[in-house]
Amino acid sequence: MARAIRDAGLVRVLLAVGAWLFVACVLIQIFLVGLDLFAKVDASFHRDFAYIFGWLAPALVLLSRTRDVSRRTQLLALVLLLLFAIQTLLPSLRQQVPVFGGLHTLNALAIFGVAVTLARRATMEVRGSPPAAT
Amino acid sequence: MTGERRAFALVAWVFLGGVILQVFLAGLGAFKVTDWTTHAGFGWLLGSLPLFVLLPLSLVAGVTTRTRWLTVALVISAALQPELAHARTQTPVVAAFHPVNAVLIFWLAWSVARAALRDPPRTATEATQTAPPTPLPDTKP
Repeated sequence: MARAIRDAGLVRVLLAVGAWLFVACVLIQIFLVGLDLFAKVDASFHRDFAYIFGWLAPALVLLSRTRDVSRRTQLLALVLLLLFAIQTLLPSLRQQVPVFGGLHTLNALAIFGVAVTLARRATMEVRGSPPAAT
Repeated sequence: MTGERRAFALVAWVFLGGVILQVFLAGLGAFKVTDWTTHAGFGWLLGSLPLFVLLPLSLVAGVTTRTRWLTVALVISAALQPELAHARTQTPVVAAFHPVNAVLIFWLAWSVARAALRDPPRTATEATQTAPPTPLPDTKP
């Protein structure tokens, strides 16, 4: 195990683990929305949890900034950070433009899609096989 | 690409577009821009596509076994979706999986739509693999 991590490069392993952790957090976050809508659990859990795991997004960008990581994976990490930043702004912008409320859920789908793609690519790069074009 | 495959790909992409629209409608409902009836009404229309159109087409479109199983998974998760919403009165925690299942539907729809375009056309080799084995020639002298 330790040797496998050393061979793959610790930073690349951390990137893959961090990306999968981010995917898991997005799913928990979506479940918290469900609890808010259907079980009348306070919406602040959903909001606060976003600020807790949101730090992973810039961390993934930093981790991807190594020579071992492909440019496409670096770009995905950057796109993820951008989408996450937009996501935090959309609920407050709906006061001016109500349709931005609908874009909040759509952007959540985009965040999930980009996070899964990033996690899969990062995992493939750890394993040493060239990632398939997605 | 055969006509059946074209139809399968078209329906798969239309369904994916419908899922994206449905998620947008959910956002409008959640932020009280519209009421939930638009989301619910469109959901019933959209939810019937995988079972009544996509699954039968997958059987004749010559897609791979993996794509066919993905379509079956899509049918199951789409059928489950309104049931999860209905569970809100009895078991609200179960109903909270409604948006999580929506993400699963989106992912499956995306995978099926991409596979519909990428799957290789059914070859003669594959056709013989699924056909009943031909009897061995008589080896008696």
